[in-house]
Amino acid sequence: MRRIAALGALVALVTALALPAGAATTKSTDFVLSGEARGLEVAIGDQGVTLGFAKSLVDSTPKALGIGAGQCALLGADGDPSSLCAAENTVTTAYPGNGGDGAEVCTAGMPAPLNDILDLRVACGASKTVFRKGVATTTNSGKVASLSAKLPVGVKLVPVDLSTEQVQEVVNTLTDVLAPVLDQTPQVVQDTLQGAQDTAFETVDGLLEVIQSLDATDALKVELGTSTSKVAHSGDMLESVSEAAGAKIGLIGVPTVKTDGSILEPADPLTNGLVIIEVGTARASASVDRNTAKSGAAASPALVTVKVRDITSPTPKYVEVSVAPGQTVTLLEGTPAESTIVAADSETIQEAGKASAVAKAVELHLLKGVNGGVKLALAGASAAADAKITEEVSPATPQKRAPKVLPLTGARDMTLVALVLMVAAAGALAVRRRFNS
Amino acid sequence: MKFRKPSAKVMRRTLTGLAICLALGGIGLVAYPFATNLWAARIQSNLVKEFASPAAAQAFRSGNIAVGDPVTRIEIPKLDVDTMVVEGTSLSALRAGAGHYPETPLPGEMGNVAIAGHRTTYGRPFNRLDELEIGDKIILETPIGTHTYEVLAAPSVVLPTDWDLVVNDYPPGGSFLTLTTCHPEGAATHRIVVRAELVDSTDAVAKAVGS
Repeated sequence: MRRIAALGALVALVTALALPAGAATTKSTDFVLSGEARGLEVAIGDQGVTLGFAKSLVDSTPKALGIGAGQCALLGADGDPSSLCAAENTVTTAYPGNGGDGAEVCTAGMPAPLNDILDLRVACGASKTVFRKGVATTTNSGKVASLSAKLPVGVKLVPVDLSTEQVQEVVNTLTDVLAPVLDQTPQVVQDTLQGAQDTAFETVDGLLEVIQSLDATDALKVELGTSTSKVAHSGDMLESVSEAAGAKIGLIGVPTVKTDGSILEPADPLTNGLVIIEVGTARASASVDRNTAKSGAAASPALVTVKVRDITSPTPKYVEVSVAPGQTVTLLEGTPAESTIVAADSETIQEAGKASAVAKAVELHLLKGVNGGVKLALAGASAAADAKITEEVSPATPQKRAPKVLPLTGARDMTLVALVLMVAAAGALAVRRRFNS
Repeated sequence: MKFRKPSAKVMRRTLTGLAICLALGGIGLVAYPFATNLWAARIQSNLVKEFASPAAAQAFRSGNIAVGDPVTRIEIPKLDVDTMVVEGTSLSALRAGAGHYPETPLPGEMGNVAIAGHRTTYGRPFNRLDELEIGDKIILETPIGTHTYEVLAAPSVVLPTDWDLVVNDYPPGGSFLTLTTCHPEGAATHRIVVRAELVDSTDAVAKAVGS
């Protein structure tokens, strides 16, 4: 009986060792995070350019791609930055691959034929991708220093003939109104009114000069912030954040009229523009929790403020108007400088495991009466996250690996122990003497 | 059972034996580092000969270097370090003084080359590793070329378990060198780590022509 029991135990032991261990289920989260920010897209006729571009893409395989570009050919909705962005001011990094060091690469100038119309100071791109603690992350940026556009040669914002007629009409009206009054009032009052009439004439003359000089100034100047796109992680949370840092646009620099009636030049559209448009920062973010595969998204569109200058005022004086998200505003209607602004809106979509956010770009169609005008799309940002938990059934229980440790390259200082041993030896010898006698 | 009191003679002999053992132990402990240094020096002199052989160059080119064979000669001018580095970081491999982590690329290659070295025994090549500063040069001479690295940051102290941080965590796309040794001196509770970046490479042919 004992032998049978022993044999059974042996068979059971051999079977347990020979067969693979029970199947194990392991859970992991597959995710993809992406983001994109565009500072400015300019379209003039059939030509176009995208300035300040940043893109991020990270997944759980793990792979990452980052692009930071100063200037690209017009990317539009689905443009491929790898083929359309200028290599001189574009940095592309990847994991696995070249992670880069985050240093900016810059160039000056706008490519032909846009360089005839647009003057671009400096365009820069930067990118860095790293792999740390099992996750790839990427940080990218694109920016331009400033952009300005002059009117094409021969194009007049305000036709000179019309302005002369307008001025003449105003002068005649003033004379007609003032004449009967001047005849029936005391000399002191007559002198005062005559002074007012002279001032009015001077104002009209000054206004005429201002209007006529507009064609010599920059028609458009844009000061653009940096566009950034990054995917970062903190603990189990991964976040894609895209930001287009907004812009300030000056439309038609209005020269300052000095007290002697002469024009003070040059007129910077950004500080003395007929219209100054300030576009705030657009931000879109999307996040994923690697533990739960839950995702979320948020977006805030760029806020727009429009300042219109009162050019009859000798000192710069602006009327400020805030444009609500999604609202359309038309300025200087009926003139060659007519411009339309469509303020940005935002959109957030949340589905199972998926989340995306878009802060749409502010759209401007400026100087519509001048060769079709200039179309700008400013401060657009988007971010998306997609995550799901996958279960893998492994055929055998994974064996625990002993954690790797850095090799031992030092020994304990045993000097003290050696000293103790020597003292003990001396003690033993001292005790031994007692047994001599 | 009755306990018999040992005679004086037995006691004398026992105490003499004990005193000799204790003294030998003490002397052994004091002599141990010196003995390991002598041992390492002997290994080093053999490694220098092996390193100069065509077989070493062939093994390096093929990337198939056996544990204990020479991989590179490390020179740190600031610390007066000039020692051969063997393949492997096991206790026996590290008796040569310094060993190349087999999980990492070979000197001059893309990625992070990691080398461990003794701090207090076996020639203690990395005894003064903590004295390195940003910009200090570290030269790795291999059978097929010479690579100069520059220290990127001040030495940092990590735990022995920070394997990934030391070996795998480095900016992708570059060539780096990481040196590790025990810390503090005379203990092994931590590791001190120095990270350097490749700044210059000369292949052996170019070096020979240049000279």
